[in-house]
Amino acid sequence: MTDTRRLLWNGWYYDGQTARRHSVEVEVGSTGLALTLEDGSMRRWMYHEFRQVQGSRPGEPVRLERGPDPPEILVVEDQSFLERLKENAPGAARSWVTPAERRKRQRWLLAAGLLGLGAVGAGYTWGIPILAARVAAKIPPEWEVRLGESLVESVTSQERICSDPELQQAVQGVVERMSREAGSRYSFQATVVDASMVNAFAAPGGFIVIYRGLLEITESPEELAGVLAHEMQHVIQQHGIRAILREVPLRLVVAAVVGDLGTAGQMLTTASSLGSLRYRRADEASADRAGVLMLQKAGIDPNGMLVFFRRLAQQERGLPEWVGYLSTHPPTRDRIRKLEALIAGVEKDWQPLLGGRDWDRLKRSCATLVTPEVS
Amino acid sequence: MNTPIRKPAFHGTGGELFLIHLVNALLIVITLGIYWFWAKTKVRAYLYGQTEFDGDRFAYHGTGGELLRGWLKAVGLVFAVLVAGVLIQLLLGEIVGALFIYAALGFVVAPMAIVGARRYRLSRTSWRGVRFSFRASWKEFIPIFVLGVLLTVVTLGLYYPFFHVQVRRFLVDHSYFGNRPFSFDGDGRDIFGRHLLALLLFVPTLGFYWFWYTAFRNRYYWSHTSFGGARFDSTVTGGALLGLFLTNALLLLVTLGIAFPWVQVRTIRFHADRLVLAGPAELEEVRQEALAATATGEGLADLMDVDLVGADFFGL
Ligand SMILES: [Zn+2]
Repeated sequence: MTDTRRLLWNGWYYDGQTARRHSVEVEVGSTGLALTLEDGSMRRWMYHEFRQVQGSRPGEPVRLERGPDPPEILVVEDQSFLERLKENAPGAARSWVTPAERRKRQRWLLAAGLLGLGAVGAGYTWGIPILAARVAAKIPPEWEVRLGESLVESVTSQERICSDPELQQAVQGVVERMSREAGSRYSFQATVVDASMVNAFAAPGGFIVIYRGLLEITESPEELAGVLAHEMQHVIQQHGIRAILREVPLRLVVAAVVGDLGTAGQMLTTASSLGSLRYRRADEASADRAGVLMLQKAGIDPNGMLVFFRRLAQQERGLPEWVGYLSTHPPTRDRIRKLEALIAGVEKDWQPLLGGRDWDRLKRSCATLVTPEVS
Repeated sequence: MNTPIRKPAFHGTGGELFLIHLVNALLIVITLGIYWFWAKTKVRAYLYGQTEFDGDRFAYHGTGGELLRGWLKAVGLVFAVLVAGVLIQLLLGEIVGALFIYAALGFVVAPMAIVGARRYRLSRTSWRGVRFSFRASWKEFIPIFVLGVLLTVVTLGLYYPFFHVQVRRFLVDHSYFGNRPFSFDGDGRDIFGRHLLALLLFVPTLGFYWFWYTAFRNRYYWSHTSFGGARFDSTVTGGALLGLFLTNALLLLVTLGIAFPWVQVRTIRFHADRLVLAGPAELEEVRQEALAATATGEGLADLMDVDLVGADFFGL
C-alpha cells in the first residue's frame, strides 16, 4: 500500500519554545529525518533520537517528539508516513506502532484480558477455597476461640441465657459425648438462649448456640443431638473460618476498587457483619455426612436427625420465629434423601440419651423460669 | 470578515475508551486497586490526545506515580487534620474540636484541593508543545472562598451567583498558556436575575428549567473569557443540554452502565462542537513558560470528592 519510493512528506514543526506552528517538509533518509522549515532552515532528527507519541489510533496524526522536556515536536497527518519510517529504520522502528500493528495488539490484549478474567474467576471458584482451607488449618485455635467468643457475644448480648442447670448440663453432656468420639481439637461449649426463635448456629472455636424455640420442637434428645452434631461439624471442619478467609479478601478488593476503604475497615472490625457470611452448600452436605458418622460413633441413633429434618420440612414457613434456622438450613428433599441413604442399613444397639429422662419436661425447663415483673 | 475563528474538535470514540476502561478495570483488580492512579492517567491522556484545537491536539503529561504520591500526601494531610481535631476535642471539648475539623476541612483543605487540582492539571497539559499553568496559590483563594461561603449562607443562597462568578474569575485569571494569561470579565450582577428566575421556576418546571439556566451561565462564562485579543463563545442551549442529559441517562439505563465510555465521549464532543475562539489570539507570540506543580491538590480533590470535571480544559 505504501509507496516505497515516496521520500517527502508535509507536516508541522513546533520548537518547544513558542506556540508557533511551522510548516515543514520531511525527507525520510537512511539514518534519520531531514526537516526543512518554511524559512529554509534545516533540522536533522536521527532515528534513535526521537520517540512516537501518537499516530497508532485510527485517523490520529503521527506525532514524534525529540529531546528533553519541553521537546521539539513533528506532526505528520498522513499515517502511512509511519510505515515508510519503519521500513527505513528497522533498528529503531521496534518502538513505533502503526495502526495495523495496534489493531493486532488490541486483539491480543482483548484475548489476554478475557483469559485474565477467566483466571480470576477460576481462582475465585477453586483457588481461593483451597487456599482458605490451608490457611484455616494454620490458624492457632486460641484465635478461633477469641473470634468465636466475640461473635457469640455480639449475637447473644441482647438475649437472656437459659440458666436451668439441669438443661444446661444435659445439652453440654450430649455435646461432650460426641466430642470425645470425634477426638477434635476444640473443647465445645453449648449455650441455650432463652428466645422463642427456632435457631441454632456454631461459631469458630467450639461455640454452639441453641435457641429455646428449636429445643422445644424436638421430640427426643436424639433429635437435638442431630442438630448439635451438624453444627459441631461446622466448627471441626472450620467452615466459618474458611468462609471468612474466602469472602473478606474479595470484599476488600471490591471496596478498594470502589475506593471505599472506610467501609472495608468497618467490615473487618464489626464481627456481627460476619453474620452475612454463608456456608456453601457443599459445607452443609459435608456437615450432615460427618455429623451422622459422629452420631453413630458415639452410639447415638442418627434417625433422630432425619426425623427432625422431616418435621422441619412439614412446618409452617410463614412464622417469623422460623426464619432463622430454616433460611440457613432448608430441609430440602435432596438433603433428606442423602441423609436417608447414609443412615439406611446401619443397625446398631443405640444407647438412649439422658437415660430415659422426661425430655418433654426437660426441654421446657427453660421457659418455666418466670422473669420477675417490674411494675 | 477578517476575524480568525478557531474551533475545538473531539476525535475520541466510545469503543477505544471502552477498551481502555476494560483493561484498566482488570489491572485495578489484579493490583488490589493500586493501578487506579495509572488508570486515571491513561484515560486522561487519551481524552486530551483526542481533543484538537485549531488543527493541533492537546497532550497530557501527568503520570500515575505523581498521582499516587499526591494522594498519599493528601491522605496524610487529612489524617493530620483529624488527629489535631481529636486532640483539640480532648483538650478543649467536643464542640471546639468538631468546629476545628469542619473549619479546617471546609475553609482550608477544600480551597487547597480546588486550586491544587487545577495547578496540577494545567501544568501537565500542553498544546503545540507549550505548557499551560496556573499561577496562584491556594492561600490567595482562601479569603475569596471563605467569604463567599459565609455570605452565601448568611443571604440564604442569594449571594451564590456572585460567589460562583468570583471563583470563576480567580480560576480563569490565573490560568496561563505559556507566558500569556486567560482573562475573565464576567460580573455576578449579570447572572443574578436568571439565577433568581431559575430558583422560582425550579418547582413549577419540575427542575427542568435548570438546564436552560446552566446553558445560559455556560454561554455567559465563555463569552466573558478571553485570551489575548480573542474571545471564546459557546452556543450551548438549554434544549440541547436537556437532550444530551436524557439520551445519556437512557443509554446508561438500558446498558446497565456499560455505555459509560460512550456517554463520556458524547458529552465532550457536545461541548467541543459548540465552542469557538474568535479574534486575534496572537498564538505566534506565546512563549514556553512551564511551572512546577505537585499532585497533592489532585489527591485532596479525589479524597474530598470535589467535582472538577466541569473545570477541566473545556471549563477553563
Ligand atoms: Zn449447617
